Amino acid sequence: MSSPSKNPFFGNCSKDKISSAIKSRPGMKRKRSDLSENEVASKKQHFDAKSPNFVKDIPDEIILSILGNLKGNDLFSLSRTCHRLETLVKEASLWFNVDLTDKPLRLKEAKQRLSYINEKTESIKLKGMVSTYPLGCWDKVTLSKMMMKNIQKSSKNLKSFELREGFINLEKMGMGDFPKSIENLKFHNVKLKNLAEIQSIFVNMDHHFESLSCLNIEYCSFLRPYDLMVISKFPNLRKLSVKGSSSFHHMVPYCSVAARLGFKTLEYLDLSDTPINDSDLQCFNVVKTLTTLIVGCVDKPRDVLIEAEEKKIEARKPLEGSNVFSREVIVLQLREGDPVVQRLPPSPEVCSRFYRPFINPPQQDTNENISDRSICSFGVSAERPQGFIRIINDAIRLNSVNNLQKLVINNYKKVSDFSLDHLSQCAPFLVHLDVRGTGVTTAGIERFKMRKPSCTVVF
Amino acid sequence: MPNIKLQSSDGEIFDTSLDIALCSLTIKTMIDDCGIDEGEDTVVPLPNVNSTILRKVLTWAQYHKDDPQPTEDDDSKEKRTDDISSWDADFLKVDQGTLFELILAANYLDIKGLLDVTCKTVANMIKGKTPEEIRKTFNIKNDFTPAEEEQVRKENEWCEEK
Repeated sequence: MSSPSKNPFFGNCSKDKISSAIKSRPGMKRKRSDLSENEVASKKQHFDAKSPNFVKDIPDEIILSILGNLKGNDLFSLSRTCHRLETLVKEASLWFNVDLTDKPLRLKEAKQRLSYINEKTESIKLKGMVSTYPLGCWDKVTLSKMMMKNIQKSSKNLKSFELREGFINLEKMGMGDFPKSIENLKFHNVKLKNLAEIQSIFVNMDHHFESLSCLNIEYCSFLRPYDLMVISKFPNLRKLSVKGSSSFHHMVPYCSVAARLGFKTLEYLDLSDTPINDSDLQCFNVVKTLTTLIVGCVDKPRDVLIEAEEKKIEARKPLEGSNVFSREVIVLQLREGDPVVQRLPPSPEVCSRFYRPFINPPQQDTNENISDRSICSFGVSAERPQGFIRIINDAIRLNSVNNLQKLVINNYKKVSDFSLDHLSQCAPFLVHLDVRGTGVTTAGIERFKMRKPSCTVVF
Repeated sequence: MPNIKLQSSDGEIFDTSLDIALCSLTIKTMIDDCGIDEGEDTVVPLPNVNSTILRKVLTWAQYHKDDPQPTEDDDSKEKRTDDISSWDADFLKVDQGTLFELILAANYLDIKGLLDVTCKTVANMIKGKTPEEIRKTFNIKNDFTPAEEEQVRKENEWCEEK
């Protein structure tokens, strides 16, 4: 094709004006000034050629905006295709938020991908491999001490680390290997190997996690109520979620101390999907800074799921005199007949704790665990509240929390209108109340709304 | 709205409404800089865009001319490629050559919305693929020597555990 100057259809504009307009383009945000003459030329060329090729014809800036839409695993695959893409993938800004959770990774794979992180990297999300059902043979180690050291070296500004379905061998690394700069730590269904039951995994970590402000340990069977004792000492912790911690019940001894002496900055607490009861929950009513509290037990459909899970667990009773479950192998007979289940001896290095599946304790109906008793222990009004509320000890009542802004109580049958009456008088800052699946009545909600018109109610 | 005439690289002239043409910041700048008066029988030359692509671009601009101005880029926002509207998805069911020409045209004409959606479409073609599959999809020549591949593999690994 001819150059602009030879173009016969140039209209009324002078060619100089046009070319300067093309070159300068003051309104543009993306940098075009560095687009050299031969790049422009190459662009023209392929417009006339049959069709542009991704790597040969597209300028860097466009490829980078395409890559900006991709996450770590895809970027890594691209880096393995050719030299040009390998160079482009190294662009630091692409590794600002590293999300590798679209694919389960083993340690080696995770290391390869994380070798691209740089001083701009602020967050890393990793997904490892753990078996979903108690059968440890698919568990592959996700993190290592060396890897955490390298992460710390490469990205000094790392703020956020998330591990899903990860597997950590505590013989090889501990919580202290996570970078000190971390403000946001998230574990989801993470398993630990070689856990010593005698002390918390967070022991002595309160100085290490000084900048930690948000800790989510969700659906992790390793978490124990006594871990809260150390966690409560983290000096800047604002947000804590222990959602789905199956051992969180009958934990008053730990909770009461932790809540009374620690959690000085805690604003957000998520205790949903745990089997906690009234007494456990009541412990937290002395955390003055608390503004958001979430409790809720699993809904009906999950109950069915749990029943099925229970049956499976029934079928695999622990071996006599040992804490270890035996392993089962299903042998498929290819020619004829049904699959045969064979029982193998347990692998020695794995303790029973690993195999504790995530379910609520089967002996209780957890949706009755929380009742008006604990809900009414939150919040206080200067005046003695009216109505059905029976005050046992005024001193304790007046010492209670009243900063709640958001309260979520889901699927607890025994939370009724009493709680609503109490909250309408004793939670002056409440702006959001979610009571879906509880025993409240429409009349109770109406009464609550009348008293607290500023509060949104979900039921 | 007055009309404006756009001239593609292969000489075809497109008579289009000015508000559609102004989706392109390049055309807007040209008009502002050159002081093309409305109503005058002006032809704006677009030497980097052929008629097939220009027709597509104008179709896209016609549909999206009332879209709100895109907001500034934000590094921290979630990377999403599943928010392509169904109209755009249908519009971009084209062969790869056309798709890349649209990208280059959107870049040249500086139409952010079209550039975004075409880039996302290409990103979706890359997603979940192995390096070999990506090479096949985009006809990329593997220019790593076997020695380099080995080297890359080693470099990309941090020191192994002792």
